[in-house]
Amino acid sequence: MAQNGYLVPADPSAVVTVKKKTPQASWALIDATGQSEPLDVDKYEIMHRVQIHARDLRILDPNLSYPSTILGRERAIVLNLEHIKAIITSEEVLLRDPSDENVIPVVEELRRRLPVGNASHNGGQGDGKEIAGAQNDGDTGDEDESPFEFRALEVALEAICSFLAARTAELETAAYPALDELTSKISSRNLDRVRKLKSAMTRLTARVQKVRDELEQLLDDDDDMADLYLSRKLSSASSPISSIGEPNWYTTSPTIGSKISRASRASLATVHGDENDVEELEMLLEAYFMQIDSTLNRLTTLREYIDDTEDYINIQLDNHRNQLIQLELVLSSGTVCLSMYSLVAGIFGMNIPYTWNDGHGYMFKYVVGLTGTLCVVVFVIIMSYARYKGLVGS
Amino acid sequence: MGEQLDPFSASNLPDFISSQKIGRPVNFEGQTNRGHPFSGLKKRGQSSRSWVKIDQDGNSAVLELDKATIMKRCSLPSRDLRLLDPLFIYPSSILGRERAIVVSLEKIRCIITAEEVILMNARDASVVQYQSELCKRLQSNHNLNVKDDLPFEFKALELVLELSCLSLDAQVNELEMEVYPVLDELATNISTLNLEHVRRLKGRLLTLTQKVQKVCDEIEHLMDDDDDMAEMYLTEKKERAEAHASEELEDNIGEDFESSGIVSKSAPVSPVGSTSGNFGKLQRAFSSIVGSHKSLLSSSSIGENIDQLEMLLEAYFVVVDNTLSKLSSLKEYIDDTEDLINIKLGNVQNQLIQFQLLLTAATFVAAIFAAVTAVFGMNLQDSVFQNPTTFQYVLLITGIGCGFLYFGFVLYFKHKKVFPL
Repeated sequence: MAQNGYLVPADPSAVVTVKKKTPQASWALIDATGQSEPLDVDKYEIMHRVQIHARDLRILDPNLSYPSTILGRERAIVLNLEHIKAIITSEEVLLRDPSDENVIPVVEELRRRLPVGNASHNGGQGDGKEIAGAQNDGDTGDEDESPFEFRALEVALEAICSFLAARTAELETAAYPALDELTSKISSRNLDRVRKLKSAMTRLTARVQKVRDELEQLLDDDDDMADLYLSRKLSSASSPISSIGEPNWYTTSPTIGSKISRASRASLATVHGDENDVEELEMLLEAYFMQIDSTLNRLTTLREYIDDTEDYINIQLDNHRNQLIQLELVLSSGTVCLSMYSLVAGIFGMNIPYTWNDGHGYMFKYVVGLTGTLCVVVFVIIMSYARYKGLVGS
Repeated sequence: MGEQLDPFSASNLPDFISSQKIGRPVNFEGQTNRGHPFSGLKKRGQSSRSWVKIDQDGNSAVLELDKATIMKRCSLPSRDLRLLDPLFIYPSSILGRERAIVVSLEKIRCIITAEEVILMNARDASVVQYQSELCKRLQSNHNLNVKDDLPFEFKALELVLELSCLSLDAQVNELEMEVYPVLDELATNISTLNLEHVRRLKGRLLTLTQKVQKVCDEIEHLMDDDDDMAEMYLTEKKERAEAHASEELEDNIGEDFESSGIVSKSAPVSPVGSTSGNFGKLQRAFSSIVGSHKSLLSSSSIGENIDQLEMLLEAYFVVVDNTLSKLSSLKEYIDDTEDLINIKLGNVQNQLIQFQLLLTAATFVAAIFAAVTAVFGMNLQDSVFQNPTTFQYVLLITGIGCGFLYFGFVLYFKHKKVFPL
């Protein structure tokens, strides 16, 4: 397999010892014609190629756990969305770890969709309408005139939204039977299953929430969205400020002059951008924002369903306990009455001489009958009082 | 030049001589007195502490400097130096001053100027790591000619943020690896030992959450205020100050006079040192920029300037925010486990009451039998007692009756669906 680019020997002192990461990473380069080439270069080569900071490259490091983020830089869009870690310029896409099983479909989709249509560097007035029409018809053929970077961004967003929606569907499929089983039989095994599911749901909710917040933050800031228009920035920078030339990206301690020229270039970019162009990206982001928002709503619904089930189980357990205690109350009051009956009989059973022992055979019937009647009356009084207080029968 | 670490020991020196000194920090006496500009003050009991100076080329040196020297060197009030005092427990903070950035994050406490980093020397591993890492990065940038566009103070600040975020993230991961097994064990066996274990871990979780929240709030506070971020551009401010050297001299004389008031009046006034190598850049500076410090401050609020620091802070803010999210997830997991353990305990409690119900029913039936036998135990003469066969009849009828009654109770319980659970 031919390797594009040359190997730059990494200085050992340049590598951060703490992280112990290898100096070379596996990248896939996909250009505007759909050609895909693997790259094995170190991070300085990547930094030089797309002119981003080492700090932005650290975001794409698989060993570090960075949350999902979309960053617009001078000449590149840095994407870190779940397993998709990419750098999108106006001409090519650099994708990290292309051999990962989750990333392979993204590579194929990029190769299929990037060559479609002409890479237009000028946003026209009708772009928004055509994009809306294209989304309604589901046809991304000749009518799609998005810039290159937005087509790549759309593929990444679509893959991420589908991925998270699939994870949510998997979680729902596992959660609802487990909750039904827990409702029918409360056992340690079922409780542990629900606990594991809640933990997985919490983690998935945090991931979906992060992607959603990132998209919302982009949508709320027009300047951030304007930063993502790489093609327009490139065409604007080439014509009016050609006399200044390309800024030295690695200038040490830049002077006031170069700063002011950058500021004026940013102002020119702002002047060139009309509302329609920001609207194009806004519609793209809003479509996927609503998709990820519905995924978050499903997770929230699942969360509430689990909480409701737990509350229901708690109420069920309490009701069950109350019934048990009620029956125990009835039996205990019966035991009290029988104990009183036994008390009376025990008194007459004492072997202490008494006048009724001789010649009073008829007293046996009186004692048995009277004591029995008295005990029944006491039992009825106790049960009536319990019913009056609402302890029984409610 | 290699780094030199001198061993030192902590000792308390009573400070009776200088009544104008503010605070009584613990003095660290090093074995080397290199770089001590006030050797005369040493005999008067002035406190000095060990610091590590790292310049732009990655060279480090251990200094013994007292508080007044640090204040004069970096133009800081003593209030900022108190932030770096190991005796006081201050929350994490990043302060931008006129000529320095005072950083106190986790264990790393340092003062960053446009030319050097003055790091509080300590035996902690993170401080040693910061020192070696910063020297390595500065030297590698110097050797490879890889010129990052960040000025010196932001390189130093970035490394502080990076190591602090890594340290907090490592603590969170360590706590996670402890919490999950303990909660699984608690779900299996609810005992006092396991409950105590979880309670202690929740205490650690709360402490760690507060630390991460403080760092997160500090970075967010910086990002929300453009003036605070503009204050941190030390290199630019220094370059602009040199463009107005004549005006700056007057201000520095005033500053020296103020600092002389804090230290004893016999301290000599040190002249303002000008940095060589920047004269070429002065020609490119716009001569139209005129004015006082306020004008310099307002002109440095250009969006392009703020963007540089904002991107730096935002990168680490995202990391700290992610760490905070992991802590929230961990706390939610603990709460979930506790909820399910409560359900499990409720279930077991119901089973206990159910068993007690059966025993109570048996007690009731036995009481019936006892009542019948007690009745016939009375010492009352009656014709029933004349018949010996009555004994068998009484036992047989009562036993069968009680048996049927108990069986009736059990059937009734089944009918009410309270048994089995």
